[in-house]
Amino acid sequence: MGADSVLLSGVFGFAYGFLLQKGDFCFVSAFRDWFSFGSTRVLRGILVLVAIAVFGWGVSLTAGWAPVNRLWLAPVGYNSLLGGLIFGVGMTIAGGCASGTLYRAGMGYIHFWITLAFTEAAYILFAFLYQPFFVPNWFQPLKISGPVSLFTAWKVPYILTGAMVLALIVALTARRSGFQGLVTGIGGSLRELARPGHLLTAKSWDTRLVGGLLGVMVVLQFIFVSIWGITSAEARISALLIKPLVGEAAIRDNAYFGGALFGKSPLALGGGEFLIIFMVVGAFAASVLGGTFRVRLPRLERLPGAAVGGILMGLGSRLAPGCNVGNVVSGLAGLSAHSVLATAGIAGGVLLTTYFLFGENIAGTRRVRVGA
Amino acid sequence: MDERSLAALTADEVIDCQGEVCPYPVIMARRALQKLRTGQLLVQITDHSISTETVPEAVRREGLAEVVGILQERPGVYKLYLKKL
Repeated sequence: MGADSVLLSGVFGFAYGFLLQKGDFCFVSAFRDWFSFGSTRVLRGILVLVAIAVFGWGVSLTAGWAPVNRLWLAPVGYNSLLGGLIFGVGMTIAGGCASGTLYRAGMGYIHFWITLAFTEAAYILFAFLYQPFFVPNWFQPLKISGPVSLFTAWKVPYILTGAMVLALIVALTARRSGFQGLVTGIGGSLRELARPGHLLTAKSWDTRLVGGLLGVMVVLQFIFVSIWGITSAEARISALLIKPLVGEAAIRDNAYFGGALFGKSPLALGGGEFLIIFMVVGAFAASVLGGTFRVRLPRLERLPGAAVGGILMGLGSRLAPGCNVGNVVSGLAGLSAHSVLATAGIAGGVLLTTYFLFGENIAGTRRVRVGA
Repeated sequence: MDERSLAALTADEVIDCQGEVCPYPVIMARRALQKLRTGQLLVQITDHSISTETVPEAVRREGLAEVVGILQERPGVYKLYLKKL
């Protein structure tokens, strides 16, 4: 990756962090609040994001603006679902997903810096167990097939596949909200753009607007650089963090760090790493402008959750593989079967943790136990 | 309700949720509201920005409280005014 791409990755990272913070675009909130009290505030934003990304990627592939091997397609297996489940449990316990942890770290949450530290530790643990344990006991027995994507599985032009998925999402939304509701929703989400002076200093933006802008950024990044991912770059950073302790040869010889993650690339920060570092910077800038930045000290009794959640996110994102961004955004936008399973796993992990660990009501049930 | 009117209200119960992240602010608001009588006012203090969205939506959807207003006390710290239904 050249210097231009690294710089561009930093620009995309800044934009992602800025937008995520402005929307308080939390993927845990998206699933948990839907299950818990029927709120679809963030879920609607994610739907807009995926719809735009799928269609934009279909157009880009057909026009030849991006090669088809730029899609992130992992092999399909039961590990897709189970790894997603572990990640979903972890992000609910931590109170933030992979992207949520980064944008809140930029907002001054010490809680999420702790989560991030334990996630990094989990990557190191995983890397040293990868070849001796996880390959023979997890990835090999749980594998179903190689990578599968609807974009490449049938002989239909990419643009048509993207258009069909976009039409399906619009039709489902119109069925739920009615055509008038759909038009009103689009109008409402764009209303904030009419107040450009207010935009930068506003505490938060409409999640559908943020989802739409994120979708546009995801398409542009796909055309100019790559796909949006977080946890592989975080894992590469964990390798760089221990490099002074274990030496370069130990990193190169490790089947996961040396083989799967770095390959022949230099053991140094690259575009993906700059992207996630600048996500934190972008969120910091957005929160300072919006008056929401604050160094937030966590409660001592919540620190075990921050740590355990971080470890489970680190392990889950390696065992699936992929996090909420890799799977729910880039994977679904690539119409990847692996990511459909992983997304189902993530949602299942949020549901199970919300119900059994936090004892929250699930919308539609009459369970009333409330615990803290 | 404007900021000055909100600040002038007298709370029947105040819960300080600073330092808490999701889902605790919603759970704590529910638990506090369940102990109040109809018409009483709960003030929840939070520095978890998303709680200014999730708590009002949860108590509204569950019919627990009317959201009287939200006051930003200082950068990143909010007071949610919730009237028990």
